[in-house]
Amino acid sequence: MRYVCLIHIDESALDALPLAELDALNAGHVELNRDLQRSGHLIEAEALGASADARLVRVREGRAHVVDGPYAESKEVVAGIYLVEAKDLDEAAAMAARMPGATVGTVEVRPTRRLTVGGEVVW
Amino acid sequence: MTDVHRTIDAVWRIESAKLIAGLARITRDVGVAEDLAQDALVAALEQWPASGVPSNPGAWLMAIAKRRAIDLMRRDKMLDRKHQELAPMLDARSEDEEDQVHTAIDDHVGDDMLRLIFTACHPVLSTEARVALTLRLIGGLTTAEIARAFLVPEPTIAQRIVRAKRTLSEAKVPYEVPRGAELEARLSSVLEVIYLVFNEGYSATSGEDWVRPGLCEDALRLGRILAALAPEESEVHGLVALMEIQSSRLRARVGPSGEPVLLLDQDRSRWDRLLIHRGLAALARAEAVGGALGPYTLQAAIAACHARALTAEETDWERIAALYDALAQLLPSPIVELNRAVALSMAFGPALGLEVVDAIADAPSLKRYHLLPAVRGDLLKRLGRLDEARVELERAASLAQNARERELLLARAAELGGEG
Repeated sequence: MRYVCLIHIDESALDALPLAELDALNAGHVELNRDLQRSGHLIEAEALGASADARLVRVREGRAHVVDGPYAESKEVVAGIYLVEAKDLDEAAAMAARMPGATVGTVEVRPTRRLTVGGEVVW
Repeated sequence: MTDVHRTIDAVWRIESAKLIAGLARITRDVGVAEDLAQDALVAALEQWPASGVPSNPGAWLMAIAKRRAIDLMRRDKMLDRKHQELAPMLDARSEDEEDQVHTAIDDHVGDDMLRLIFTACHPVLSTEARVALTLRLIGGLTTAEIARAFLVPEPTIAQRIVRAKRTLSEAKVPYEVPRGAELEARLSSVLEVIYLVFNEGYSATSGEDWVRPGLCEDALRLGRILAALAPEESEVHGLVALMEIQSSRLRARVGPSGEPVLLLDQDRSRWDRLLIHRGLAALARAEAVGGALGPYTLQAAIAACHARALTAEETDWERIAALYDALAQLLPSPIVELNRAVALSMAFGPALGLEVVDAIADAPSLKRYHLLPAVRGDLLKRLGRLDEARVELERAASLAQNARERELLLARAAELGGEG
C-alpha cells in the first residue's frame, strides 16, 4: 500500500528558527530519506517552497481562474510531502514519527486510493 | 495488539536490517548480530509501553544492541582467538575505545547493508535458505510471515534460518562484498533470490491464490534497497525495472472471482501507472550504465514493450521477438525459446511459432511444464486445428499446479467444443 505523509508546519515558526536548528531539521530529513531509501520504503520525498509563491487554479464554467496563493488563511501549510510504501497505516505512521518536521508541525498520514469510473478501477 | 506494539513492529521492519548489518560488522557473525538485534527488540517491547516510543527508535535500538555487543565481547574470550584483528576493540575499557566501536558501526552503513545482503545470499546456502534468510535479515519479516507467504509450517522456516546461520558461521563466510570477477557471480545469486521472492508472489507456484501481492512488495523493496546501494550495477536496475513493470499489472491479473487474466486479455486501464513510470525510469538507468544488456534488463525491456502499448493490438511484437532473440543467445533455455515462439507467432503468424515450439517439445526440463502444451494449444487453435488444440490445453490443465490456472486452462479447452 502507498501512503502520503503531508508535513503541515506554521511557516512563520519555520522562518523564525535559528539557522542551526533549521540545519539540524533538514539534516534529519536527509538522514531519514536515506534510511527509508535503504529499507526500500521511500518512493518520493519533496520539500515545498513558500506558500506565498503558490498559484491557485480553479476551473469554473470551462474557464480557468488563476490567482496568487496562499491557499488558506491558516498558519499551517504543507511544507513537505513523502510518498511511501508501507504494509499498513501503522508502518506509515511509524515513518511519520521519525520525520523532524513532526517536531515542529503535524504530519498527516493518508492512504492513497484508486480512482474508479463506473465502478471500474481506472487509476 | 496495542498501539505501541504496532509501532514497534513497524519500527522493526524499517530498522532491523541496518541494525543487523552494523552489528555483524563488529561480531563478524550474522547469527550473533541478529541475536543482539533481537535482544534490543525485546528491551523495546519491555520498556516502550511504559516510557513511550523514543524520538529516534532506530538509534535507541542500536545503542542497546551496541552495549550488549560490547558486553558480549568482553565476556567471550573465544572471540579473541577467532578475530585477532578485532582484539583492540574487544579490550575496549576506556570510553574512548568504546567510541571506536560505535564509530565502526556508524560509518559505512551502506557498505554494511551490502555485506549483509551478499552474506545472506551466499552460495554455500541452499536457494531456499537464501530466500528465508534474506527476507528475515534484510526484509525484516518475521518467521511467521515468511512461513505464511510460502505456505510452509512455521517450524520449517525457523529451522531453515537457524541452520543457515549455523552454516554461515561454520563455513567462516567472510562478512564482505565480493570484488572483481567474483562480484558478478555473487550478484547474480542475490538477484536470483530477489526475483524468486517476487515470482512466488506474482504467480504462486502452489496453493489456491494466483497472486500474493505482499511478497511482490517485499521483493520490490529488496530490489530498491540493492539499487540504492549498488547504483553502478546495470542488472540491479534491470531487475527493479522488471519487477516494477510486472507489479503494475498485479490488479489486472486477477478477475472478479480470483481467476487469472492473461496479459493480452487484461484491462490495461487497471495497470498501475506510477509503477510503470518507475519501471521505465529504472530501465533507462540500467541502459544508461552502458555495456551489453543483461538478462534482467532484456526481460525488463520486453515488459516495457507491453507497458508502452495502450492496447494489446499496439504491441510491438517484432521488437519483442528481437529482444527474445538477444535473451536466447545470452541465456539459452527452453523457457526463453517458448516465449520467443509466442512473440514470433504474434509478429509473423502462428506457423512460425509452432515451428519453434516443436523444436523444443522434447526438452526434458519442459516435460512437466504446463505452459508448453498451453502455448502449443493456442498456436494450434489459431491454425484452426481445434481437436489437437483441445488435447494440448487439457494436458496443460493436468500439469498445472495452481488451482486457478488449472480452471482457466480447462475453460479454454472447453471453449473449443468437440468431445471432451
